Amino acid sequence: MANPTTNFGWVMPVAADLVTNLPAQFNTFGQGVDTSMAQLLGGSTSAILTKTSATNMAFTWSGLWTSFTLAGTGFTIGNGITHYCKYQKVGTTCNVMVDFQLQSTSSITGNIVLTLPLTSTSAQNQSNSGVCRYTLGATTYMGIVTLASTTTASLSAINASGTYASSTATSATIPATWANGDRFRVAFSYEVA
Amino acid sequence: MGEKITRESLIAQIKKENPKMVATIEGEKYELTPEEYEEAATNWAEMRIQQIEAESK
Repeated sequence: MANPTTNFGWVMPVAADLVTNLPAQFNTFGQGVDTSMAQLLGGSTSAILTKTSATNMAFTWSGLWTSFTLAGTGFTIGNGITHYCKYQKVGTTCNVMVDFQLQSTSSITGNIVLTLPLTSTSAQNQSNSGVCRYTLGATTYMGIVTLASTTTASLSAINASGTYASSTATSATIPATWANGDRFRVAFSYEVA
Repeated sequence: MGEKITRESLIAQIKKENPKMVATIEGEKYELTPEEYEEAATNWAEMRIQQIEAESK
């Protein structure tokens, strides 16, 4: 028998094949279909099917929000609360959301720089890729996320003292004096290397 | 007039107030290792020193 389907090449019986050979031929056909579809198995609710290479039928399930460890420089978690620290990879785009709240032994000692969950392309360095929201006491300040390297993102505050707003590195006293209960929330996106 | 605040006094203070430190990560409790504890205490003191210096200017 040599009767492949047009696209996948699954081999089907031909008119001249003997009926007694059909079980074996269906077995060959079925196994061909099964092998081709193997990478479509699994996945979770709301997962997105993504190509893993240019090879035919090379897929993986992706797109779900995944937790990663909050890390970086300029801040120390101490007994703080990581309310949310997740990323989502959709194709070559990585979306990140972080929500961290300082507690009594947490600290901000310099410019807050987050370690990226996935490496970014170098072409994006110094690009603004998202926004920050700093809640210090009863006041909420706005900020910007800038890709500082292929592995880090820097959080800055907006300095409103000049004619034009400019960005200023966060610190122990910027955008204001950080204390127990204060919080930074971050959302940004970038292209994965 | 109180004692002069130093890094060392702040570290001693936070350690006294927090014999152990427990972080919360998406609802899960995590007790800091001795190394993480030391780093947190040191950096908290560093933050406070920076803030105190900024306030005094």
